[in-house]
Amino acid sequence: MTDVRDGSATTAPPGMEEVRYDDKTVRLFVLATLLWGIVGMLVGVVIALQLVWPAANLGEYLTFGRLRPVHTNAVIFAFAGNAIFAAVYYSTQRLVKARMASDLLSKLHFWGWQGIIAAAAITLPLGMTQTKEYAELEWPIALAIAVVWVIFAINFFWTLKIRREKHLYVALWFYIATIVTVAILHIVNNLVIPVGLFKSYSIYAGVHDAMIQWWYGHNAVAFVLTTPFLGLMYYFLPKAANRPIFSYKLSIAHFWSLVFIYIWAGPHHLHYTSLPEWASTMGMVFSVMLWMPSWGGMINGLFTLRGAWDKVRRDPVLKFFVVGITFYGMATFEGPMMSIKIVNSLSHFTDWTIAHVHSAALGWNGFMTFGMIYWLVPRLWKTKLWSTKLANAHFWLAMIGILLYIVAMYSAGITQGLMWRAFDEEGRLMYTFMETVTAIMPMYWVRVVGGSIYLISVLVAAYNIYQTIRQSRRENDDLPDPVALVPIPTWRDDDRAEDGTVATVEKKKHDGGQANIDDILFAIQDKIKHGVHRLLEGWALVFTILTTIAVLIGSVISIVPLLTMPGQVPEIESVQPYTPLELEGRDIYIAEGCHVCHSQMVRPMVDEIERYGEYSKPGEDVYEYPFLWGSKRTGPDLARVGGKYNHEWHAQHFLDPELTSPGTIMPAYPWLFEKELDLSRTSRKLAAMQTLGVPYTDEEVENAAELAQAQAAQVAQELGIQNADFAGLDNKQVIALIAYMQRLGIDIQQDQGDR
Amino acid sequence: MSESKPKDQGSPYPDVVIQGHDYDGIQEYDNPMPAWWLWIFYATIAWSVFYVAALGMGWIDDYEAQLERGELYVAELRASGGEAMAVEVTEDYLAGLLEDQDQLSSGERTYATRCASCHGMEGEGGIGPAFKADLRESERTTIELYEVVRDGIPAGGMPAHEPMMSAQDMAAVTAFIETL
Ligand code: HEC
Repeated sequence: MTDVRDGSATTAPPGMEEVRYDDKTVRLFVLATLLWGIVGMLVGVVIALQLVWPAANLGEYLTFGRLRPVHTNAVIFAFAGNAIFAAVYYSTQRLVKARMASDLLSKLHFWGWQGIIAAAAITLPLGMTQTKEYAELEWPIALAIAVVWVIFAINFFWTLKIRREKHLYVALWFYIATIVTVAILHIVNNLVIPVGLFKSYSIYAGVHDAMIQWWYGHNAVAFVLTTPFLGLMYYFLPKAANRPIFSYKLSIAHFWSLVFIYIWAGPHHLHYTSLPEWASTMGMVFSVMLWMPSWGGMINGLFTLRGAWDKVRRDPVLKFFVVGITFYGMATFEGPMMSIKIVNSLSHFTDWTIAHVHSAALGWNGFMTFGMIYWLVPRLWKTKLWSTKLANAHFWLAMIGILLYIVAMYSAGITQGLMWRAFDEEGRLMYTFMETVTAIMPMYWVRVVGGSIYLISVLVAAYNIYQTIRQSRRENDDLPDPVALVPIPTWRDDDRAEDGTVATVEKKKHDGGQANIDDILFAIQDKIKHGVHRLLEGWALVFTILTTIAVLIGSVISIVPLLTMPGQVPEIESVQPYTPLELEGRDIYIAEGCHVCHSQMVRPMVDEIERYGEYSKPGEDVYEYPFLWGSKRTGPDLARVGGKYNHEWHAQHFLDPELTSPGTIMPAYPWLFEKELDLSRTSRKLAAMQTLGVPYTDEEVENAAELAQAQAAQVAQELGIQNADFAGLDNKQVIALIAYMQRLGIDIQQDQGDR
Repeated sequence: MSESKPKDQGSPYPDVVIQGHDYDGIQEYDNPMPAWWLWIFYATIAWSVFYVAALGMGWIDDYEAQLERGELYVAELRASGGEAMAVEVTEDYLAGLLEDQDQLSSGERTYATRCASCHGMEGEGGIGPAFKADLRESERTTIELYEVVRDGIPAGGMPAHEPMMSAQDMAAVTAFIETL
């Protein structure tokens, strides 16, 4: 803090002092945003290509199943993440008129976060994953995220503590909600039992795990991609437009309703699954109620621009903001709509969801980020934007890119969803799964084109900013921290209101006397004369606590009863734990990211029952640590695939899917036939499962490796009989994976057979 | 900050700047929330309460009821459509198909989507046995082949196709196999 006060005595006029804002950290975050944005989107284009041209799966570490989480994590946590840090660091300092509390913490935050991203970029292709979407990173990295987040939180709240501006502006409310909620979500969803440095099992199974994951996943969307971006909007939009915010009252109403309601909506990701229907219903109605709270932000954004539309036409910053906010409005209408069960029955598992996320991520997050960057860069680097023309070119290219992308994905999603459920006049399914894949390939090509155009637009932006920075180097010798003259705050020791009633109370107390009731009432009345909320805005701590309570209510009510109430997960007698070999096979399935393309959740709908078999029951998943229901059916559901084909079919299919399924887009996995099956940790894995309550005997745990070997020998022998070309694969990974495939859905078949 | 002249009193949004709200130059208007915004918000809340009640009362189908309706729909299709298009597949019927180009090309399409993955694109065999005349080992008659398509050979890994295909389609693909 000392450097902030430096020189104030000599230069500042009376009653004023100097603040030196830390813009260096902001510059770093802006550059990181650009860098990771390009990386994340490039990976996006690569995986889009893999889905039309499987040859683009370049070997073991770069298959679709492993790269898709790289793409999602890079875009959410690296691109959007760094963007919101830039926004928070820049705007918070100015909104509270104080430098960030600790330069050291700022540094640790920045470099810690980049380290985490680098670790993610390495471990995910290596197949180290917890599988849960946007929470894939294995436990040491998840732990590092928690630490860095706490560093960020300390730095932020400490800055609030030393603030000079008494009242917190709405942008800060959204930042507070972000920091608190992300911490809660991240910790609860990452509770795992490690069985190695980069391998762990979720402590929740099946239905429970699914509920917690989507409470997390949905609110990662809320508190990483929505609330901080609303904060960003509330600062940068009025700054850029030079207009007052449309309605303070609306800010209050939509902030609290949004924060309170969002947290309940997670189960809408689990409609028609084996999650009990009451939970699903709750997720649906809260999603519908979320519509207007979301739109409150859009209204306050767009209405703030009333009377400034001529400026919007000229200024690329405002253009980006307007389109970004419009996409926000579209996505937050579409979201509640998709959470209505009957709509979801069509959209779920299809590319409709992909269209929805991309209109939000590319439209809202992307455009808001670039609007901010175009506004910030000239200020941070003390120069003019190198080329407004290029910024406009970026804008139009990005628009074309998004439109191609989402139109293609809407039509792919709806087409495939309708094909899945189509019956012919005789009551038979009209299409094989492969036919529904082939049908949407043209749309997948359009996506590749749309995504590439968006990527190119971002490269244009990066070039423009690179040139702007070079121009700044020519114009400025260095970039010292900007200094602002601000009034020395007096509100802390001077909670006296103008008429002195508070002082009277204080004074009477001080003198040992009793303040009479009138004095107190006057004092209260005086304090709330600008509304209770205004009072709250002056109390950062109370504000934070209330926000925390608002998000905890929905969290507790949606999670605790499901986990603790009896009868939520009816037991199924015949469901048994996996054998050690099958468990190893399941871990290969996880590492290869098969769950990224395949669901294991047959929904209670005629077409699914017809196509895959009996619909999934909650009791089937009691040993599923973590759950593997999936969220996208690029390939068919596998919950009942056991026994559907013989071993040989699976072996052929893994070696070269094109042989068994001409035209398929599933990658080939030839290395499964070469890589040794590692049984060194099998025993530890069973022990961990045992701790979690899976009924393995101590003997099984101890002899896990031998048991696995014995079963592998048997499966390998059966396979060798079916096809001599596949003989002698005893200790290869493919045997474990086949054993796992053949187990899927078998237990419940037995149950039905018994009856 | 920009001009903040209050508008005429008639406007729902008078645009009065709130005194004392100034954050790094950002000001706020004291405008009311848009009425339509509030009303839609209330409506979604009312609708939610209604939905939960209606689901509880059984006025709206829950998953189980939806599934029953779906099953009924398919059962009806099968009863009506199945009857109208039912063909009795006999030796003679199959022999007739061997002469029918339309049926054979329909069989060829079915073969490509459903059979080729195990029996080879040209019937050269793979996971399943070959059909090509010169490679063929089985001595089944056409009607016996049809029965295999229909009922499968569970022990050998050949699935039954009756649940997935119409009798006519199964007959057509059987005929096509015979031409290989
Ligand atoms: C890029 C998405 C993708 C990935 C990743 C993927 N698959 Fe597939 N999978 C498909 C598609 C598409 C099909 C349907 C066509 C076919 O049979 O290849 C399929 C089919 C299957 C089938 C046949 C299912 C049936 O009922 O016919 C199995 C079994 C299977 N995949 C297993 C796996 C396993 C195991 C992995 C991981 C090692 C995996 N898949 C990874 C897309 C994928």
